[in-house]
Amino acid sequence: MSRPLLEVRQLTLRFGGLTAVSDVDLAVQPGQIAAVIGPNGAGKTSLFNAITGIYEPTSGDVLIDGLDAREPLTRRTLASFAGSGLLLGVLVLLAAANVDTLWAAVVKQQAPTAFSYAQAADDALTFLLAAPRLEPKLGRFRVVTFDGTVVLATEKTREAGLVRLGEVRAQLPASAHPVWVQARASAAAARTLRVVAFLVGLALGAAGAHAVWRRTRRTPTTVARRGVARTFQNIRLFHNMTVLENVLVAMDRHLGHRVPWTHASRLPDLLAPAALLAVAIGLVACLRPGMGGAESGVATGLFCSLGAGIFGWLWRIGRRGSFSAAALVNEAVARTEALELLRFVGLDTKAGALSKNLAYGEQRRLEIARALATRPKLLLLDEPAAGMNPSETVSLMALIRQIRDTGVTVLLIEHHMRVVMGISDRITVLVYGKRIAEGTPDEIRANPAVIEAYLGAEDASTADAAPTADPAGEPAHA
Amino acid sequence: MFDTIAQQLIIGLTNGMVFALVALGYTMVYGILEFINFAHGDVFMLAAFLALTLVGALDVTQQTPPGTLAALLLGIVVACALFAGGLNYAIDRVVYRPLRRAPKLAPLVSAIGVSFILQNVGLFWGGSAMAVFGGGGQAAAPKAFPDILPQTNLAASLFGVETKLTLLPKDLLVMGASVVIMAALYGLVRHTKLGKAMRATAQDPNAARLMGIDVDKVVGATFLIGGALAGVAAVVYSLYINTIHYQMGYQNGLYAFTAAVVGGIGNIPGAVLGGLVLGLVRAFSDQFIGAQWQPAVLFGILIVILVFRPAGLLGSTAREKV
Amino acid sequence: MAPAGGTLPWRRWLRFETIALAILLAYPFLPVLDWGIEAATGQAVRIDRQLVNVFIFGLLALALNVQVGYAGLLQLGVAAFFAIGAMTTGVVTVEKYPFQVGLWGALLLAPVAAGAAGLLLGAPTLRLRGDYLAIVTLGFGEVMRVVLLNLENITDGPRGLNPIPEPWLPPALREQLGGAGGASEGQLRTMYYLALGCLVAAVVCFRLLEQSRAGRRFVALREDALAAACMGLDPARIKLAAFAGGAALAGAAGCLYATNLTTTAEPNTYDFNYSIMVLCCLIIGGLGSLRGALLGALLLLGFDNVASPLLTRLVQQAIGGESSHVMASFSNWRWIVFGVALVLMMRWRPEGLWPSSRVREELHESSGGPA
Repeated sequence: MSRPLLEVRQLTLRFGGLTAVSDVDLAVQPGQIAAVIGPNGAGKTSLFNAITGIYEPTSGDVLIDGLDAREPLTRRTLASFAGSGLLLGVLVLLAAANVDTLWAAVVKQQAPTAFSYAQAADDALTFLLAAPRLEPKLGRFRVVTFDGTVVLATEKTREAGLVRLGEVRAQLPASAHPVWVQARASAAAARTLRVVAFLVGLALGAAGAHAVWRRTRRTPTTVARRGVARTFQNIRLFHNMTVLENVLVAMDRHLGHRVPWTHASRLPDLLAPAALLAVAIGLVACLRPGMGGAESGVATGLFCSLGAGIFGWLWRIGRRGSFSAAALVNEAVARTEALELLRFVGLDTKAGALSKNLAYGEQRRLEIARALATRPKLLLLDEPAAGMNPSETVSLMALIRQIRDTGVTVLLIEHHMRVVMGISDRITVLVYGKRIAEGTPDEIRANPAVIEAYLGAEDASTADAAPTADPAGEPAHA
Repeated sequence: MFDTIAQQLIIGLTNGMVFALVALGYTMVYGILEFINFAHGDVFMLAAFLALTLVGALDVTQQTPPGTLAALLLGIVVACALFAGGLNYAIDRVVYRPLRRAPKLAPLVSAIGVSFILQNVGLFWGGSAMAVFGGGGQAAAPKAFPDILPQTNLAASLFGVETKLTLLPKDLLVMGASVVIMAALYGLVRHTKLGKAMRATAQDPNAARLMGIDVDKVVGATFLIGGALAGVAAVVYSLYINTIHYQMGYQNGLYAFTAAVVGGIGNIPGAVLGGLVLGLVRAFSDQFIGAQWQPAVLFGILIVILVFRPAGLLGSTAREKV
Repeated sequence: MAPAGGTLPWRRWLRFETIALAILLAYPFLPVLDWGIEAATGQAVRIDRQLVNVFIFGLLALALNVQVGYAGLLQLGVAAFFAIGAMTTGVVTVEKYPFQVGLWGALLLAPVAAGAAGLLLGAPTLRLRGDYLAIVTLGFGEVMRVVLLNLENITDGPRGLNPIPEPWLPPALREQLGGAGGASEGQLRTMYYLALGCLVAAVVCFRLLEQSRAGRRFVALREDALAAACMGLDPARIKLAAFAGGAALAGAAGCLYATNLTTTAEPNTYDFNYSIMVLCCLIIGGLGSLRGALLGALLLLGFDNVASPLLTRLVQQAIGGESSHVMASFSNWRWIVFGVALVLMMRWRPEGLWPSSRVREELHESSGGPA
């Protein structure tokens, strides 16, 4: 047997005291139609939710294509932890070192006209490292205002500081705020504080990034991107979008990779910004202080053409209805594909209708089309025939077979025995969250445990017994 | 050093208790309706203005004999609790109830609207200066709330040793009153029929309705109780801080809601824990970092807690119904 | 039917906007209303001066609209990003600092700074439950105000950084703009056209965004985030993009605001009430609606700057003479008016005065259907 496309191993899902799914194993081979059946409250939808990342399993594994459904810990993830740690570390360091004082020491120290970025960077580094060479420059004792923010003078010794304090006081008006002498914290203590602050920030940032990553290793998004699409028992379409838009949203991830940057239709997208950039650079070049009359004329011309260029660009975008020509090409291709998908499920004539205005059976088919638009390898259908009349059910069965024939593996939950027995290659039976049987339809039909637990006294071959509408919903989440 | 830490502990605990009392109102309403009642802080503020008015009208001062003082204080507390509870209930009845089935944003925006109305009323009630609200100009000055409790320092007599610690009767009043009220609330929610109905409604309003619980009544009772707690908190706060201001509802409401989130919103013990954590962090950051950075420190703590425990310290993660 | 290339509805939409734009473009040179009012009441008014504020405030409202209207994020601290934009502008342009890149440089740097702040705040918090975001943004607004007040060496604390130089224009163009009015007129008109230009650019971009793939993502996310995630969309990333983008635009608005005032203003200006005022604009005009946001900005500033002083004067006349009582000044009733407006809007017209058709559908959907 080949490697299963989906493998569920020993999956358990608990909500508080209630065990919705317990130790369930399931394997779906590529190219199959597999089904999960069971009475109401057997945990079928909970199983689907665990597979698609909506619920985090209490224990057990889900493997897609032989690999764990959770995002792996890659080098890139580790780098992002490190990056977020560094970022927070620097922020905390800046806070601990008092960024306000840093600014005063680095930017305000120099006269605006003589400012050099190299000098500022050097000063900043010296300040942050609390390097000893700063000590003689600033002095150990400083005369400061009452709140300690403005340094009026610095002296090497306390005595000299007190003398200076007297001088400063004598110069100030009587009404001024008090000033006093404050000892500078020793460089070593300051350095320790900063190192500790940086390390705390580093650890918090990395640990925080890790916590967020761990929580989002398995989300509906990541599972869907691994090629698993689903429909919902209680239809969850985007009701106020049109039928076509519903499908286009699902195609979103595959949009935009169609037209390479080198394609001819990209050229205008590149040229317009490039031209604007060139004009802007020309403008800056003309803006040197003390430019002459001729240059001023050139600058004016460039300035006006820049403004006109921006407006012309916007106007062109507006006329076209899109930011880039390539996006338009993408969009057109996507629309064609979406319409094809809608034709496949028989909804192409309703492409422009709002999805909430569709009939129930049509909404179910639209959900299938939307799921297929994500280009899945595996399609999970949660009670696709619920609420359908017999003729709709028959065409649904044909549709599911067609989907399988296009190479998409199907796993479905269904109550209609005729549907399940008619199309499934393998059937798994869940009762009270436990798997009680697994096999081909014939095996399941003949299995005494299944007849006992699920179908009761009725004859399996004629049973369409299980209720199709389910007013209370799955008790697992009641 | 020991004195400093002990002093900050006292300050932190008392402040934390006041936060917790206000936070309870937020958390109870959130637990049931999943909506932030922005007007709650302003109900608290109006109750404080009522307390000030009553203290003036009844001529309560530090010279009032202890027996009379206790009786009058109790009366004021009851009056403020009734006023705030009634006001909160009325707001729910008139403004929020018609919006029960509306999208989530609607009650929230309405609550912000109500908050503004109440703040403006507070400005009229307490403002004396010709104030230009919000957009520049001179804001109304804070009102002094008279210090009517005795000022004896209990620390020395309590511990029997000479310390620089200050422990005033009002500190004890805050802690005592808060503990009694929280215990009573916990008993109410755990052991009465109304409490059971409240817990059931919080879990699933529709199921509760099917079980014959009058959900509107339960929600009304929640607003009433939450408001009453805010009323008591207002008196306690005014006696403790001695300054009230028409914008104090926003300030304290922000901290109280942060406390509720830190503890795990919708969770009653969580609100108390969150209040205490916030009060303590605030006291120690004021001492060791600087009072001007208080909001930044508290906000940083909030983010850190939410990153590591998104549902708060005591909260459990809610699952979406699919 | 969704527009195929967007051409048809786009043109229809343009009809109203083109006329409005043409009037606004001509207004500084043909202030018809000013003349009319002056002829009728004898008082000289400058509506173009007010319009600059409306444009800037409208830009801020559009920024918040990206976050609240498009992505459905409950952002209560937009003033913080506005403030970051204003402060960045101050720091990189004032004479006392060595950077002095001028307005054009600031207009690039301010959105970058505000957007970066949005990214930093959003990355850890946007995955949280929606209501938590409200408290996080609320707290951020408060923190930013306090930080700007406390970093006195950088921001000059309550004084604010000033003077912010006026935007550089080629001298010839400058003279043309000023006309007979001279330098101050030239400055006003520069700001007028600059703010108008930014607003138009923003409106055009958002209009396109709504019709594009990104717009579709936003609608899907608002309607059913879980279903969208199951289709492979990443809600956290979409929200983060909207949050950072909105923050950046708010920063640009802040840059224009500071330039217009020629000072970064006192940090207390950018408080919670300011954020809520912007939210009021959106709610009153209609969440998710571009026209609504601009209408809201117009109404709000109109109330504050035109109706409120007028009513105060009327009240003062009615009660006879100047009264210093707190209730006698109409501006003190301001928040009651806003509060009542919010409550009534939510009750009777939650979609706003001038809603976008899509949002109206969504609102009626959820108020009618099951929760």
